[in-house]
Amino acid sequence: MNTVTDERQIEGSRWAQARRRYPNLSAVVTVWLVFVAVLLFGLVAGWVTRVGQLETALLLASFAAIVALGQHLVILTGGIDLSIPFALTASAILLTDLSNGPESMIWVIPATLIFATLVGAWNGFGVAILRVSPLIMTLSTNIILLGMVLAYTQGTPQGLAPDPLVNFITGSIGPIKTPIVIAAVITVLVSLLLLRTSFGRYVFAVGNNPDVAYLSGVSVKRVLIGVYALAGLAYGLAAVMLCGWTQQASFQLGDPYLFPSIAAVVLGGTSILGGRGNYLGTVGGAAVFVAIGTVFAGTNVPESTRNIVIGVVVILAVTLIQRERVTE
Amino acid sequence: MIQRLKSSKAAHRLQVAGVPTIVPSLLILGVLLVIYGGVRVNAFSTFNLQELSNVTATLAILAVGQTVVVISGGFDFSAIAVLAFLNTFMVTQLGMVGDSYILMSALVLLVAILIGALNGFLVGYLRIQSIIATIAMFFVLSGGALAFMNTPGGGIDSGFTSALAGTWGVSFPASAGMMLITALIWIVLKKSRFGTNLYAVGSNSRAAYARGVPVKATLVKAYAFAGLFYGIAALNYTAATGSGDPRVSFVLLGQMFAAVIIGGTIFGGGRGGAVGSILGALSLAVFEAILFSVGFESYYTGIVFGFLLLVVVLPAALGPHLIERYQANRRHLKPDPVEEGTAL
Repeated sequence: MNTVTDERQIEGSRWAQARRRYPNLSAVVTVWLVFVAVLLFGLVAGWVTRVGQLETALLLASFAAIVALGQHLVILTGGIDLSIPFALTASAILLTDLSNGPESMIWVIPATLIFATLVGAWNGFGVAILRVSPLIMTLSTNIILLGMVLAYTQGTPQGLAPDPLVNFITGSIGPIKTPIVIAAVITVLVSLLLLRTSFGRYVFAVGNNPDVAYLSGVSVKRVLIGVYALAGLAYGLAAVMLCGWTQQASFQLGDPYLFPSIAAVVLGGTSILGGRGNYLGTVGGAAVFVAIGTVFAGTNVPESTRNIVIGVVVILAVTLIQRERVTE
Repeated sequence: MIQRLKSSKAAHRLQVAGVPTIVPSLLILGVLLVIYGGVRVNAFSTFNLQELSNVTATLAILAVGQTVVVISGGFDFSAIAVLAFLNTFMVTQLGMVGDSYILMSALVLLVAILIGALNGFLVGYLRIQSIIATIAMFFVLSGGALAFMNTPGGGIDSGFTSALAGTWGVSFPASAGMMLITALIWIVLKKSRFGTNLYAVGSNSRAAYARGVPVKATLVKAYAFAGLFYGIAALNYTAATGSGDPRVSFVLLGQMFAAVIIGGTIFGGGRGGAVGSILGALSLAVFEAILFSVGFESYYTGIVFGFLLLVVVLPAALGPHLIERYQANRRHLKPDPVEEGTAL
């Protein structure tokens, strides 16, 4: 055997190379194919008739994908984040409450993002330093934030998002709606962070086996706090965008994002046990989720059926993904 | 046996000494009750005790179901949707059984067991992670609840309400009776072969399988019994509220896990018990009553309660680590005699 074939055997086919460089590639491709299939189904059935509907699907998926980014990072380390509902709601209420005229935007938005990051860092502190299980830690944070929001607003949230923010978020950059552009930029940045930096490798290492990561010289505590803080930043950003979109904040703002965020991560092929996943898949999962809603939105199929379909899709997808893992 | 293998040394010593794991949750409840007695006028009047029992029952019985799943090594996020589904099912489908509340209650329990068994099938046979399987079921069931009723409403016969949410005899609250029945069912389950298998599977399912425990069947049964408990909770909830409501309560989800945690059941499986969860739910109710009595705005209960949750789990979370570190330090201070010898 000469060296050329040896190298080829080591490098493998292009597909195998791509699979090594981009984790979970087959799951990512699958989930995006499902997204296209759902939309095609809507087209064929005559339920999707306008381009506007596609745009709405991508728009809603952008919000969902940014929320799911936080959940994705936390799940990659083997945790789970139940603080999403009130991390979102508290950030949104802080933003609208502090806002006082268009100029206030300059400091209110950074303040909101810092607040959300601190909430995430608190989660990370509990998980990494106090060694509380992620589920309990984030649950406790959610309950604390709920109490803080109620105490802060005395029961009624007030204020509106500043006008420039509303105009920016509801507007377009070029031909594309702003939230879609933001989500696309974030997808690229996060993929680079996770796949091309040492921090990204540490995240996967901690998720695979924190003890081995520790023995290999990874500062597990720092990585965990960093991951939860980044997750908080993602929720803060999502809250700012949602406020810009709806102009005001409500107590129910965050609740509908908790379970869909976990479902989106799982649909995208990320292992709930941590250490394995690809953010592109999570974005696809969020897109599938929203697409199912959009396809039904044009019909008189009730919301109940939509929920049932989503549940069945999650079960089918997870069963298929697991089958694939076993055959691998 | 297998249960002991996994528990920490301190817990093992407690068990050997004959101290049941229920003691910490009893202590918490006891301390809270003493404070409650101090801050509230007529704290232990019949009316106040009935009130405490009534506000606790649904949460406590739900928490018992969750505990069974947690001991099996999983989590059940579908519980709040099961409650909404059964509640709306009961209110809207009464005509199906000729308006008989006894038949309807039996049907609700049967449906509850079937839903639980389906959860168990997804987890045990299809090997889907419990979090994902139950979130998928959450969507299906909350969809189902919406299909039964679009908006809250409907009514329930007042006879049903007084039977399951009123008093039995002169002053014994029905809600306390239902909690007692739930606790009895759990104790019988725990003593049975299924109970032994449940703890074995939760501790280490591979080891259990190797020792001939039917892992899949045990998981299906665990979720089915959890379903049964959610069914009992739904009967109590429907009787107490007297109407149907398709909306799921995320606050209830948090309280349910909190009751399980305060009850001394440790996440991860194989350890804990459901009686503790009932005490945990009672502790939450007493705690809220205390804050209310001392004039805290109800807004602040969430903040205090969230931190309390951390304080409760902290010894179990951080304790073993600190002990390990302390022991390592002591070993370090006392040099190994052999090494001393070589140095000389």
